Amino acid sequence: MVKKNDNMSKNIDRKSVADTEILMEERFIEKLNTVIKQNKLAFFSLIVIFIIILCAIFANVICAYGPNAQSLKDRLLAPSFAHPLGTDELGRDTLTRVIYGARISLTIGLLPTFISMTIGTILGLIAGYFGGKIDFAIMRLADIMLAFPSLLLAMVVMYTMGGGLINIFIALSLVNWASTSRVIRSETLSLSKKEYVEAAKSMGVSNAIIIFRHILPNCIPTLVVLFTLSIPSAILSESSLSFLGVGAQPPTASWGLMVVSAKKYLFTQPVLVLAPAMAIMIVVLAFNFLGDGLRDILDPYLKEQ
Amino acid sequence: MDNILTIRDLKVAFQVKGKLAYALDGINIDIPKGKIVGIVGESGCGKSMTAMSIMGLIKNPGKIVGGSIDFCSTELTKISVRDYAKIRGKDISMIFQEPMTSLNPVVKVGKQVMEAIILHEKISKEEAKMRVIEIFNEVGIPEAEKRFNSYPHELSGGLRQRVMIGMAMICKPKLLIADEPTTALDVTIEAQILKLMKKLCESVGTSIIMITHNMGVVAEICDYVYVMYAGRVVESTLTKTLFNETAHPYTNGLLKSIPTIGKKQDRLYTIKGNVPNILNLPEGCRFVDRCDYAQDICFSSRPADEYIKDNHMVSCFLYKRIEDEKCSIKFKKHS
Repeated sequence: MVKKNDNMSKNIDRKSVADTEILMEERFIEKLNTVIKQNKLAFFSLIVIFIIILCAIFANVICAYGPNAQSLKDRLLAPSFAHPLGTDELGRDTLTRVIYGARISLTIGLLPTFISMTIGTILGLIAGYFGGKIDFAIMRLADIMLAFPSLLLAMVVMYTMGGGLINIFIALSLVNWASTSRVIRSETLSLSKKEYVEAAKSMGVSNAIIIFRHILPNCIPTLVVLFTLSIPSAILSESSLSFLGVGAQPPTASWGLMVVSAKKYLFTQPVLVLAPAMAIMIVVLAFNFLGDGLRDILDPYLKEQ
Repeated sequence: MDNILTIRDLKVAFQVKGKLAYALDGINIDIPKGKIVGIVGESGCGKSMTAMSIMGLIKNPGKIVGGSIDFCSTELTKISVRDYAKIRGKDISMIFQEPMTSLNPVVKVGKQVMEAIILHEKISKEEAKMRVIEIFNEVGIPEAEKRFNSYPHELSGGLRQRVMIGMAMICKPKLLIADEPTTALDVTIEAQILKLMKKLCESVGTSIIMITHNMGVVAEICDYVYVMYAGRVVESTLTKTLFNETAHPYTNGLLKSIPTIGKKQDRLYTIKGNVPNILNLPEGCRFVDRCDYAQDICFSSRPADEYIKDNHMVSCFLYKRIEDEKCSIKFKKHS
């Protein structure tokens, strides 16, 4: 009986469905255009980040020198055609080292952030969904982490475990999960009261599946913004740690390390300090602008829900 | 008649400031196999609470403090959380009020429906997908295969409620609880959805508990009606009897509050006052403050559940008195 009724509506619908699809495609492109127009800065930052990532990946292809290739007769050269940003006190090409430095900064920016976000997200989901004592325990732990200056905590970890990149990874991963877990907990609290979660429960869906299939995907817009905004702070932490001597160890081409070793020549050869400092600034700003732009784009969507 | 669900003296209470507040205070409900049973009442009467206690989904600090829920000779108040999860969705399923918010906005509707069947039956994904498309066709979703990959926001309210019904019916449950399934829909869609539910349940043999405050819905599809007031069942009978031989003043008030076509009224009848706060219930009959027929006894003691006929239970002193004096009830006819 139902099928009979449907045949009619099916025929009517088919044409309109095809039309809507074309319309929706057009609308999507249109929407993308307006989004780019409204967030020029974010879009520009995205391009900058993209270029930096490409440079970092293909550093050995685009650079004429090695990052640690010394040439003592070319010490402290001013910028020239052969060395666009001059050379340092050991005759290493500054531009090359800045480009190689991007590798470290980006890996530090992305990987530990990803790990700490994962830890924070899982803890936040558990705290928000189950509540009660578990929530209390996790959140107080997060409070303690937040109460402690994160750079200081990272330094303590670095001092006890020794310098080196792997240890920076671990230190930064352990330190930064607290704020993520807070945000995700509050998201989870509101999401777990939604009717579709209730509906899922009424179908006998287990807690784990509810958390990962119904709550986590709804947190993704928040996570994306949080992720892009956490990257610069991780990059800054790495630079600071390296600057303070507990991060990357020489002769690694790390921006923080380059600044500290060039600070003796600040007045005689300022480009040596400025180049890595500018690189840090550009990357940090680009990620911040991108994060802000993403938040602007994703927020109205969240409000609609 | 075999009942698939028997609720006896069910009490659900909330701990509020050290006091127990009874949201459900000793209700008895029987759901016969394959029938549609309506539960009606104002907001806050415990209709949804009844549904939630059957589903075992009462939220803290609420608790079942007494009574029994017997579902196909399984005592639901005593089984473990794990066993409950096996029953939910398979033997008892539920349709929610708001089709707009009952579907996860970031998961394709087909996947959401598939979730239910994969959970309860050991079948492959392809088979599950076939079943979903089949049920989409059955509930009247045009172009079911295409809709399988739609997100909830791409569907209209009516279609979404059809998806919800499909989700609830896919495991062919013995009992379907519909918590105001048509409140959020417009009237033409409402009729279609009701018809669809009735037809599906007849073909599968599912019983329905239809929770509603719409007397029209009750008249349309219910076989049997329970009228609830402030956590108690005040009247229960066959639908026909309820409309023709209304006994409880509250039911009468509800029926009188429906506007009628062709009858000019300056002002629509309303039952004066509000549902009492469950923390602060009157000592006697719970309806006493709002009842036009209240007498002294109503203020001091609570009426018992009296069967005034086969299948007609009323909880009211008024009725008893009238019966004693052997005169018939003369309410103002409601229509």
